[in-house]
Amino acid sequence: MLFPVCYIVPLNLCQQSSLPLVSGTYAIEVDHSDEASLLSAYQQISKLPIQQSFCLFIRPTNELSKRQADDIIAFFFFPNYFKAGQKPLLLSENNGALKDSSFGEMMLQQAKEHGYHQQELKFINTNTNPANTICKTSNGFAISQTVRRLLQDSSSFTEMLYIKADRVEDILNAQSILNQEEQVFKEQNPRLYGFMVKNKELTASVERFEHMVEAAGQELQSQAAHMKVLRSSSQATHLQHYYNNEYEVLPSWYKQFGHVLKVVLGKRSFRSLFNDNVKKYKQ
Amino acid sequence: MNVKFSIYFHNYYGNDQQWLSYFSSQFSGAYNLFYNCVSGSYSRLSQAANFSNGLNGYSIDKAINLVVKQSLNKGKDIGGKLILMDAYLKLGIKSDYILLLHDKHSPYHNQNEQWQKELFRIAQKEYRQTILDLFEKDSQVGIVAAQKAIRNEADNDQNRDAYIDTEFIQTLKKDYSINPPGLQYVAGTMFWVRASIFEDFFSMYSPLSIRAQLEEGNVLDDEPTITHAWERLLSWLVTSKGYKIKGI
Repeated sequence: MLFPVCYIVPLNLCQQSSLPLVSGTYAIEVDHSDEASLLSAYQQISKLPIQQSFCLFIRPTNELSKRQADDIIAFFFFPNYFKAGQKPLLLSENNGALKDSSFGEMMLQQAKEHGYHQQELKFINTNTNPANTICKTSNGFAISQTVRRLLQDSSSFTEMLYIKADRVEDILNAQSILNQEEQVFKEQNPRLYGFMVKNKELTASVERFEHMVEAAGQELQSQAAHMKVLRSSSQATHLQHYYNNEYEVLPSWYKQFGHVLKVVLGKRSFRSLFNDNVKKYKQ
Repeated sequence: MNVKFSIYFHNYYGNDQQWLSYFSSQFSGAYNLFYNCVSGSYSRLSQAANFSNGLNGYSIDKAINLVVKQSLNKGKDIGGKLILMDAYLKLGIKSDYILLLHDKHSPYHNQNEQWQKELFRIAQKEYRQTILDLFEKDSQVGIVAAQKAIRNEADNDQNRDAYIDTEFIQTLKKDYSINPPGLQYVAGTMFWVRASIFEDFFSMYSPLSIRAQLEEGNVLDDEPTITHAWERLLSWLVTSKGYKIKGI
């Protein structure tokens, strides 16, 4: 598909049958306030094929404990969890008021604690959406209309289309409508379609390169730190060579005898010969 | 006796197929392979073939239960292993032993290759029976590691007291009720551990809560860090339960 599609599905769809592989993302509805239910969701989702991307769709509560936030974040570590760049997407149905509640704050804070400084916490309303990018699979006409609008409107090119689906057949049906609409658009606007495909590819390349530049910057920093350590320990290298040549080459029986000798000379504690938990050397 | 074991492998540098081949060459039969990839690693990103893009095209032994995770570079390999511990508990997997490994590479270490070779002894098949015998013949053996990786913090030249009696380490020990009888630990965090010890500890203390406290990036141990404190604590949580560390 030319634009990203997200199918909002109930968890029981994962449990009852295997979800079909789709060129899009599944937003799986989970109840994070029930620990057992979230654990069950984790186990079910782990059975999804790794090439099928997904994200969570949660209904926020006013309060969220650190532990609950961590349990949600545990899903971000699935390799197929949907991330825009490095930003994990967390969808939530909301009337708008919860955006500023402690729920969002706690989620963002805990995500940062796990290295996700730019988590995308997206609150959407599945009932009324001014942009009209949320459709129900039962309404094929609405899907067609939304797709046509998205294809015609270049500004909504990266906008995600959300489709609520309760049954596997509905997902397949929606996919079929999406493919049909795109095919019609392609036939009617072949050059524009070609440009849109190219645009999508280039946008993905830019994102990939941005990610690589960031990683390369971090790598350079690490290497500078490594070089600093190596420079500061050049004497240690010299010492290591000396040790290897003067001591390491000796036979082990000789070295073992040396340890006994150290004890006799008072350089090493007697107990350390038999117990690894005691301090070996006096100095 | 059919021994059940799980491997936790943290991968920063990529080369996933080579690592899979390595595991296939060293392990046979059924086992769980928990594999964490660092998504922001330049080495991984610059490789075309990458687990993160899906498992198609990889030759994976059907007997292996492969669980792949992906994370940012937080707490280095310790952070990755904590994610894998969390997944292990959430998936309800049970094992007799857990083997902790990572693609050890210390460019700042004078003896990098020798050190890496030493640490990986424990994954080699020729030592497998020796390791299992150590566990089975003595129920008080909690960890088996490469002999040269077993150190005593009292003999550590760097940051002499940082992990011994500073407030920093004492607070961590107190928070997690870790009271080891000595200061022996496994440097490099590659070892076999009796699974029940880790299962019990991490069921009580969430691995992800611990990970949240660790430092980001490739932190070095020239300064005391929580990440390097946990390098010690992962051994000390075992010895504080009365178990011993054995070397091969």
